[in-house]
Amino acid sequence: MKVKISAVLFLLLLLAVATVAPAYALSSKDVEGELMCQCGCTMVVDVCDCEQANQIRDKIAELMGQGQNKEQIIAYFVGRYGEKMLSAPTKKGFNLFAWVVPFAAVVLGGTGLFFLLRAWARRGKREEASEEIHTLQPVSIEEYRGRLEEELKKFKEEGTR
Amino acid sequence: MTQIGQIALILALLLAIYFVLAVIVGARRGLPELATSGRWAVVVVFGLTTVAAAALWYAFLTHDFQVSYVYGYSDRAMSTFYLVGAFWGGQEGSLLLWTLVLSAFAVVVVYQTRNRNREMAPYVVAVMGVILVSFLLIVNFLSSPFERFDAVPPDGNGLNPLLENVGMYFHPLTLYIGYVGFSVPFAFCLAALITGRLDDQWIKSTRRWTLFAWLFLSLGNLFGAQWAYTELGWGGYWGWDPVESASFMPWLVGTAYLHSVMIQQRRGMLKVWNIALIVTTFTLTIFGTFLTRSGVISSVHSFGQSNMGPLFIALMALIVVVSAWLTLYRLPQLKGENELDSFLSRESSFLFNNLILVGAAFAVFLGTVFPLVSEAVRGVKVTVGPPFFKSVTAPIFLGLIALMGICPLIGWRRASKDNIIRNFLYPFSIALAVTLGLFIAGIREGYALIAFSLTIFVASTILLEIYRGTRAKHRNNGQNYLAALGGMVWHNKPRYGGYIVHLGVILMAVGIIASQAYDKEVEFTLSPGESGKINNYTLVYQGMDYFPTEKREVITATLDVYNGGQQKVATVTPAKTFHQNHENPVTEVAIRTTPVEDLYIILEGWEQQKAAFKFIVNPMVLWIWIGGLVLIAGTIVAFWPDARERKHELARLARAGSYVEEDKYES
Repeated sequence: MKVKISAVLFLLLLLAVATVAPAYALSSKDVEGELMCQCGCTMVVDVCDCEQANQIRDKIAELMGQGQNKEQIIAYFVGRYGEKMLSAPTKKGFNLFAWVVPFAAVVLGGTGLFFLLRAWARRGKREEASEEIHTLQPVSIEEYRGRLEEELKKFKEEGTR
Repeated sequence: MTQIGQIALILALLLAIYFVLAVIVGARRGLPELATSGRWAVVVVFGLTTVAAAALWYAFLTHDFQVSYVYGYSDRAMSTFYLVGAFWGGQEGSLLLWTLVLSAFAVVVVYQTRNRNREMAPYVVAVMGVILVSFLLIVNFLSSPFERFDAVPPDGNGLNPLLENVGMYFHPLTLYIGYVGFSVPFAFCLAALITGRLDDQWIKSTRRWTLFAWLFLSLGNLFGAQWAYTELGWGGYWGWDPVESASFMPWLVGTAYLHSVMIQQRRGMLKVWNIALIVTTFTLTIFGTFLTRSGVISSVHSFGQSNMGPLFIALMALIVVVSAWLTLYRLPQLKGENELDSFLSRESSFLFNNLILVGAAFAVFLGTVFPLVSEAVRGVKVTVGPPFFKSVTAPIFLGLIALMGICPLIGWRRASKDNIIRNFLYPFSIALAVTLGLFIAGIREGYALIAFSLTIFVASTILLEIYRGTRAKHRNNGQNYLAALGGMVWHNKPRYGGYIVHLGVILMAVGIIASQAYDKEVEFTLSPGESGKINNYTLVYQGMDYFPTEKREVITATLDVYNGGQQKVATVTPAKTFHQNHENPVTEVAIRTTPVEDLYIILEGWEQQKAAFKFIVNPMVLWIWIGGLVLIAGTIVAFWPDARERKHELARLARAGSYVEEDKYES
């Protein structure tokens, strides 16, 4: 009999701990940071100072007191005010667009830029190489040098005129 | 008096239209007299706008409540200081301020181009003129600050108490100067496209304007952050409010532009990209102005619903379409010699920096407009608040900080691997050692650890670079280190100014990372004599006081602050004030700042002598503001006139013979 009573008490205790535990683990700040105040301040409930934020905080405390977990409390407010109550879009469905696109843009842009820069660097090298081939032809260089001197001379003469 | 203002605005509009037409027709038809008369008409536009502004100030100072704007934003009890500032407390006045600043800048540009940029000048001033005409149309017909009631109300509505802060001068003024300042490089860019003068002359001519606008935009954001921190009373300095984001986006793209123009100047590349960046920057400044006034997105800065949304959208569309069309038209001439000597070069690293800055701006933009997108696509309103922006931008900004360290280590054109290893070795080792130290000291959060190590890396690259330069100068010239440092900075102001700005940004980053990762918050409800603890501080609540004044009622709580050694270090008095005509009280926080951390105390509520407090410890916030000061110093160094530069410019002008011709043209 004693064993039975002990077992039931132990189970009851476990049950009590299980239901109370989330409330201990959960801080009201965790919930308040994920909910947006609806007074028009565009701040999260955690930091807003208005009467509405106070009411929301009281409600959060009440729901936590009832043993509801974070998801349940958030679901309660979303049910009441709609999705705009959440301080950030959910990470599912169409909302994923907002979460993924910035990173995708940077990653794709970075990849594109990598290939573009590589192509530009190759083009630069090709032109450099073709310049090198020119330097291997002393005759043509001489030719150019002659022409350059001729033109410089002409320019000087014209300039002094 | 307001009638004078109204007439002045109408005349300013007419003259601004004349100004645009005269400079364009004068330039096209070769009528120098007409062009000159048109150019100087802008001085009269500025004069008339100043008269209108003076009339509005006069109305505020004389409590002319028949003017609905004066009624809406002031009352008899306000001090002269805030009566003057109430000018831009609402939509109509702030748009008049925009117009006033723009007309002043147009005068400066007309003056600056009197002897220079002869070909482009008419179009530069004409573009500014078109923007000026748009804003004058708005302040005349859509949002006039001079609307009057039939009856005279005995007193005004008063300014929102949150705006009664010295920040009311610093934040809006600097932000507007920054916003409007970007119209100058934008105008030069369009003028270059119109005239086909697509070399880097327009970029050279606007380097200082860009720096000037960028500095003021930075200041506008910083002052806004400080105002939020001290006045809004929620313990933070940046709330990712849509309008904060709106002033941050042009800053990001403008920063990208400041860097990428260097590539065009050195290599003649990226002409289209630079045009795109400056057009985007300017469009984003208009977008910021639009957001506050359209009421499409709810924001703490909202001036309420108005009918100006479509007009601003039209203005933005006009800017984008005209710029895009001109760019396409000039595309064959804009194709630069897109080639690099090496993948591993400063050019490449700058382009990655551009990608990240523009990527960050895009992320912020997407977050800002996503509520509208969601409503349009799903029909569901969503909110995009701080948690979204923090998660999305944090990794992007870490990448940016990393690049800030890497870019200066890679030489222009081509960097050899040896060179890079030599440059990276010390900063990398220092960063690694400090990171290890931080880890041992107990900093275990991955994000914070990575972020701190990156800031150390960047700071050591900059400081080492400055040290090496100074040492070389000291050895070569035999100067002492201080003289060598001064001489080095003085002889290459843009470069070292840039490094100093980077150091400022790093200091800010350290403050932001520390205060985001290690802030602590505790709430207490205390009776007099009771105390609450946060970190090493013990705060003993002494009691409450009540001070009614003519205008407001103030409730203060007094707390003594004791440090870890139980020594009294301060007495603080957080308060709440109740203002006439305003339902919600204003929180006046008490902040005790040290270089290590801010102790931030909010009085949340009370019952009899029992009071509820929120104590927050925000580590290293002071460094954000110090970083801001360093940023200002660096920008001023980069901005400072350079005698050699001026000599080169004069020599160039003399070679081109344009000075002589221009003098004739002006006379």
